[in-house]
Amino acid sequence: MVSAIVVGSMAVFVIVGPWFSAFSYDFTDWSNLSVAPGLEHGHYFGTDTLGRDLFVRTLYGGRISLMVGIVATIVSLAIGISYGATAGYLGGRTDHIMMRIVDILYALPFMFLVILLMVYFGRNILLIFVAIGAINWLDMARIVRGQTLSLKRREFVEAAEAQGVRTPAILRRHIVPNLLGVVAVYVTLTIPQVILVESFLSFLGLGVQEPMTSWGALVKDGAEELESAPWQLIFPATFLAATLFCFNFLGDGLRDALDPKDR
Amino acid sequence: MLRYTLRRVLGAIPTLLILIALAFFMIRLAPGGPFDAERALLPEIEANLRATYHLDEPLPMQFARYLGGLVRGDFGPSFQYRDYTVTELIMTGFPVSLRIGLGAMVVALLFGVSVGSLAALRQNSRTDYTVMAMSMTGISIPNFVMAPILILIFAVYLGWLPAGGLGDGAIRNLILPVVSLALPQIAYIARLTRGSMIEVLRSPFIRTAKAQGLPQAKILLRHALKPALLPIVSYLGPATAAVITGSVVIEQIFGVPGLGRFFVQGALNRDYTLVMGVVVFYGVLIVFANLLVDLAYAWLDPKVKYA
Amino acid sequence: MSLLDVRELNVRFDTPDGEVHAVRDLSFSLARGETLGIVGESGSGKSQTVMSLIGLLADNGRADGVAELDGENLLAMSDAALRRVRGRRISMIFQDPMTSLNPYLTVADQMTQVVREHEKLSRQAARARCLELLEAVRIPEASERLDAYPHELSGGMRQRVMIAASLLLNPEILIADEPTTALDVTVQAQILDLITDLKQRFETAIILITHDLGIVAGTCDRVLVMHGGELKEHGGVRDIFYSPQHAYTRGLIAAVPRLDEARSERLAAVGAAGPAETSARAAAAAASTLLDVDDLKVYFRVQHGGLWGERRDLKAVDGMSLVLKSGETLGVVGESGCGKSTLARAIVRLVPATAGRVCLLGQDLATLDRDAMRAARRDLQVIFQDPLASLNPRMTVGDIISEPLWTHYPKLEAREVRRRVVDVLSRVGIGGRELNRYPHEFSGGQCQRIGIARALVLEPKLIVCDEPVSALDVSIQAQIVNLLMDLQAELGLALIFIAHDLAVVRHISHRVMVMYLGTAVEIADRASLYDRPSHPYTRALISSVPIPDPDKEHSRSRELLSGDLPSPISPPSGCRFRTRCRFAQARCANESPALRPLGATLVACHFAEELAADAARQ
Repeated sequence: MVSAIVVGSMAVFVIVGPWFSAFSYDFTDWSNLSVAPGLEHGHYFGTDTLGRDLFVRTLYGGRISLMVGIVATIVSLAIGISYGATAGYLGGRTDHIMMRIVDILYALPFMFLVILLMVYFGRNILLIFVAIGAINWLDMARIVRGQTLSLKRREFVEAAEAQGVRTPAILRRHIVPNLLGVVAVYVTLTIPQVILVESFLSFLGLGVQEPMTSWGALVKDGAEELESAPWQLIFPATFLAATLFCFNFLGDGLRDALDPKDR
Repeated sequence: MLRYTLRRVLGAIPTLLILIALAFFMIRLAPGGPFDAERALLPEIEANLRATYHLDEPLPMQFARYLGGLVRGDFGPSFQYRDYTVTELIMTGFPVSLRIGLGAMVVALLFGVSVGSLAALRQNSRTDYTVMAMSMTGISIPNFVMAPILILIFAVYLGWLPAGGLGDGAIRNLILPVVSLALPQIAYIARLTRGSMIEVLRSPFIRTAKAQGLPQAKILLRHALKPALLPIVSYLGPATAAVITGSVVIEQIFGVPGLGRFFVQGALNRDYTLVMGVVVFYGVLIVFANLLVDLAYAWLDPKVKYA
Repeated sequence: MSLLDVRELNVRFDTPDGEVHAVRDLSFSLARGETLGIVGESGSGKSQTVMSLIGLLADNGRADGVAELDGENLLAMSDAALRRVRGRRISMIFQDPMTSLNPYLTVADQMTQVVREHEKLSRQAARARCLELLEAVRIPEASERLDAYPHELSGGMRQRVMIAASLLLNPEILIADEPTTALDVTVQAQILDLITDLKQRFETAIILITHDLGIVAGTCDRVLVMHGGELKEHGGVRDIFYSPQHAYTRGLIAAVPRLDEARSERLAAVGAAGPAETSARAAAAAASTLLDVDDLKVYFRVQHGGLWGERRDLKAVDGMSLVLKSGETLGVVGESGCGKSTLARAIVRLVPATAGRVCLLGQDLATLDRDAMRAARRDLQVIFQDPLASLNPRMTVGDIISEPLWTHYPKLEAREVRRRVVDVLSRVGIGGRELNRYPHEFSGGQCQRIGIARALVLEPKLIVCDEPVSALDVSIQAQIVNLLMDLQAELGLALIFIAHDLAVVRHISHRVMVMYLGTAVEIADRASLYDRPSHPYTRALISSVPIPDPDKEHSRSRELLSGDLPSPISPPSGCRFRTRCRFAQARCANESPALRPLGATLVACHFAEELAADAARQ
């Protein structure tokens, strides 16, 4: 519950926050290069080596990170659900072959392929969304398929079939509502994974490009100025870790609530 | 068992082929050639270079040539380090990465399993809650965030350990990279162990063992440990992949001259053959690790049939 | 002096919803070598009682009172002392043999470590002891079974291994908690026979916990009847059955359908006899054919190992024919895996038939297109085994029952839908106020009533009931069976009633069909089937069912079946029952017997006439 509130306010904060600062994300304050946090000069989180306001940059980075998280999750959701539900509902040989493909893809080192993509096709945000979404659909497809398969065998679905209820109505009234809970759990668990992947790429310098930024890129910059300006690492790192923590915690809580057997 | 092994090995081949093909064609389809980044070359020199690297042949030919090279263990020449072949570079970097990676895996397993079991045995106690909270935090802090923080504390403020480099290769140089690589895995394995241990301890056959008057320690060792560890065994495949991926950033941060670092440098410099070589090499490694895990699982679980 | 003396035992559990008092002030004693039955329905506290004796309550439970074993209070013992009692002086076997053995250890590993924990024995000596016990519980090829893993054994075999393991140290008390509930009736008979036999051989006192009064009648000397954590009645087995004092005991005994009694009008003591029997039967005799199943086959493809594995057919239903008249009840019985549920699903076309015809009112269902099939479903409804699982947890009761109406009468006004829903709910005994509640807010029995209401709302001619009462307690079971019989009398429904419980089937059916491995071995009207069973399998099945009547139980001779059900993937050649049949001869292996008339009965046995003549002579 607390995590949900933190995640929610984090989202509001990164959207609204920048308005409360006098600086823009790419403004260079030549009089305050790499200053420590403080209120007197208006840089609440200090500035980076180029004199850019870290408060605003952290929030902008947050926007990018959360956006990547959500958009890529939607991409993976779309692919995963259609693939998984198809395999699960059709069953039989089709299912077998489709899942065998997933198994093969599963064994691939996807992070490296994404890096390859980034290297060869240039570094744009759209590609990041698609690439990351394309990795994460595998999990979603497996889960959705498993759920569909087990729902299809549940007696209330059989009862509806015996009743003569039409297939679309069975899907709408019986399958989908019972699928939603599980999907919700995995959405909350996929978002932090995606954010992690994005910040990993940005950390390597393969993600978001200057002057735009994301939490991963900020952590990278901060790590380079570690000894002289630790705040440059600490603020974005805290934001990143807190967000991941809350999403993980939320997903975990939801999963336990859904499946009391696990606790 | 032999037949099962053979089937599994054969099953890994399509995965490898797909991986190599993906990597290969992705490069060839990408806009821009390997020599674009440098000063504009004279056309005849570029043509010459292209011929040297067989870039003027049709794609399937090139792919066949590359595959043939791979079978002989030849990843082709590096575009960037002109005097070295990719194979040579991999052989230089890999032993370093292997030491850190293996170290991290061993540390992660030892700590993860023992901490997780402890939490399971004291379920809902203060120990349990502490372990769970810490492991949730551990999962949520990416290792590229953890590594600089560890450097800040142990190298900069306390000055106990070196901040980077391999130095003379002594253990103290390895501690920080191994620990930052292992921490998220420790956290994950601890959660996994706790969950499966709790489930096993609740199962009817544990109740049977208790009703037969076996002491707690024997019940744990003889009855509970093996089934509780099976999920950990199957996690070892993904864990290998995660550690390899993680080593890329960790080597970068600590300035360790391992394979991951070559990879990042290659990626930033558009050294296509090197990047591809490393991807294929790691791909083989991960596929191989998954294979080993499958075999280990089949060997441990009497219910898996070798049919 | 008694061996075990329990006084004022109380068991309490701390739960988030407050304290649950599971056992209240229970006192009883157990003498050496006697068998004490503890009977009760789920939630009666019978299992918690024995768990508290050997200190195996869940972590949130605690027990107080006194439980003296030879003068030593078990409840006050240290963990270490109690551990030396467990397994050595008091041992226990559990309900589910599938999960009560460790799947990762061989039989020998699990058994020897018990011996070696309590006695200083060499590995070889311990192994020899285990082998000896496995032979004592009549496990064939015991020395090979020693090195098997539990999943390589059948359910009955596993329960034998459990029993062997519990007797390794020759304990004074053996606690058996529902030891046969997870087993088929023929296997149950083998296990009960074994327990009785071993009790004499090892001179062990037994505490037998069960919900089944028939088992109590046959095996126990004295009985405790528990309900809601309290002891309701306590006495010798004959007293309990022939002169029960407490109202609860009387109710319980009356609620059990009996194999040795004909279709009484209603179960339990409530209400007077209705006209159901005569009128329904008369109607059935005159009525036209409602359902005609002809040579129905349902095969499932099963794969052995991966995508390229070998494919074989699992013949779940292999050539079955039956005819049902309107207003008639056909009971279908058989052990698990005999294909009775598949038959039900194939009749209502939830699984496609591989071959054969299912005709409803002269229409071959397989030839119907989608819309015609949907229309036909109005006459053809189904009720499932698990009441809660058959209701969508995310729909309200009102919506669940309205759904068939929405599907078949989409133009019906909302008010009319509601009227019909309330109407049908009141018919099954659920008030209209419950419309907006969700399934999990109801008990199992109520959920089954809701399932029945959903089947009734379209006013069908036939309802296929797939084990509708097997998940319910005895008293609830009686209510549901009564409800089905009343509804049949009022509405002239035809029922196909599938169950593994022969007594319930006898109670509700006009005719009964016995299935074995996907085929019908005997079809007859109820009286002839139960009084003069023709097929050897039917005979064994009927003689395996315990009767809740101590004198009858002790005087009857049993025909025990040997072995387990063969795999339906590769059934025996010829007569499928021959591997377990006492009368099997060479002909049975070569020639598959057809279902043919013998008097009014249809039976599939080459030697039916000879067997009938033999039976008549005796």
